[in-house]
This record gives sequence, C-alpha cells and structure tokens, in this order.
Amino acid sequence: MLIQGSCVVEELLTREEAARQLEPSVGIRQFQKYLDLASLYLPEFEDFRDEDNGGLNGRAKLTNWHLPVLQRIRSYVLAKGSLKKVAIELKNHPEKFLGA
Amino acid sequence: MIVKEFAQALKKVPGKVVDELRRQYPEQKWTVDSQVPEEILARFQDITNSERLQPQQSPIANIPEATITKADEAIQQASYKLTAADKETISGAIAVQNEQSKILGASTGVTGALLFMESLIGAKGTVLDAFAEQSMLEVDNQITEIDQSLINLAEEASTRLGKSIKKKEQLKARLNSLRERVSSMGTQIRF
Repeated sequence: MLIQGSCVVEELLTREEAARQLEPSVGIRQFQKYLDLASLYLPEFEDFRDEDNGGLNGRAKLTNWHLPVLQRIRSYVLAKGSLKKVAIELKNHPEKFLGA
Repeated sequence: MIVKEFAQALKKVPGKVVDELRRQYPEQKWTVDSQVPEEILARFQDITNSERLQPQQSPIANIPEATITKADEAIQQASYKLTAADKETISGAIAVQNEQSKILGASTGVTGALLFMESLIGAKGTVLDAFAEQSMLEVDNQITEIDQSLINLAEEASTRLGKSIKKKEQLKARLNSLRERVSSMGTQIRF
C-alpha cells in the first residue's frame, strides 16, 4: 500500500532566521515585538514568556511550526499599520491567528 | 500609584504585573512607571491601603500583617480547594451511584424478563395442555357419538327391513286369497 502525502519536519530556527523568513522579512527588533505580543495573548506561545520576571523568555526554542502564526501577525501589522491594533485583535480574537 | 509600587505592595515582580496589565488593556502602553488604573487599585484596596497608610513604619512591622493576610489567603484558598475537591468527590460518587443504578436496573430487567418468559412459557404450556385434553375429549365424544349413530342407523335399517319383509309376506298372502276367491268364483259362475 502506498500512503501519499507530505509531512513538515520540525526545524529549529534562530530569531534572525525566522525574522528573515517572514514575508516581507523584518528586522530582529520588530520580530521580537511580534513574539512579545504572541506570547502575551496566545497560550500556544506562552513558553516565550518569562515565568519568573515577566517579559520575553530568550531561551524558548523557536521552530518553523511557530512561523505561520507569526506570519499572520506580520500580515495584520502590514494591513492595520500598528502593533496596538494587533494587540487588541489578539486579545479579542486569538482564533484568527491560530489554526491551519 | 505606579506599577512598580503596586507590584511591591502585592509582593510581585513588576515585570509580571506589566504583563498582566498588557493582557487586560492591550490598547495602552504599559511600563513599570505607568499609573495603575483605579479599578485595579480598588480590587486590591485592602493590600495597597495598608501599604499606603503606614509608610513610616519599618518594614519589619509590616511582616506580621502581611503574613496574616497571606495566611488568610491561604486558608481561603485551601477551603476553596477543599470545597472544589469535595464537589468533585460528590459528583464522582453520584456518577458511580448512577452507574450502579443503571447496572442494577439492567440486571433486574433481565431477571424480570426471564421470569416473565418462564411464566409465559409455563402458562402457554398449561393452556395448550388443557386445550389438547379438551380437544381429545371432544374427539372421543364425537367418535362415540358417530359410533352410536351408526349403530342406531343399522338397527333402524334392520327393523325397517324386517317390517318390510313382513309386509311383503302379508301382501303375498292377501294376493293368494284374492286369487283363490277369483278362481272359486269362476267355477261357480261358469261362463
């Protein structure tokens, strides 16, 4: 029997690599801001929050699996033009940024 | 009161408080120097007031009060947790009881059905037996009756036969006497 299909292998990325892979690509500072918002409002990204002191957790591992959500945030920022609007949208409609 | 002081009063890390405020109010920018909103202050009034009213006292003086608050909180939390656990246990027990009732009901149902079927079959058998006996009796009766009728018929037939034979004999005798008379008359008249 032949099983057809494709699978995505998990691949570790540095923050710089991930920032470059976004469309259009962003600088590392901007990328950190997206990660900051995602970790604040999405449970899927809570690893990126520092449990003890608040703020971003620099040690959390970033993989290609995180990219689609960050790309949606990137696109939303482009469309709305401000991080504040993205933050409000993330709080009120987190499901818009998740899912397949 | 700014976030830094507020965090101190709550004995929390300022960064975590900023995170929480950002989650609650995404439309605002938050730093450790931002003013804490009135509604948040109101929610934590008891804790922040004690901090505000006794700023001159040495930190050591605050400790017992703080511990009491914490202990209070701990008791509250513990009692809450106990209630929650209790509820869980009760609901678990109810679930078990329900399951038990279900099983009991099912087994009672099966037993009942079996008993019913048993008695049904028994009664059916009895009825069938009675019916069969009744019909056998009836058949016997019929047979006897038929036999009797046949016998009666035969008797009747033989009686009739006897009677008709007798009548035939009588008729013969009458005919003979008539013939004799006619012949005697002939001899007397003589044509």
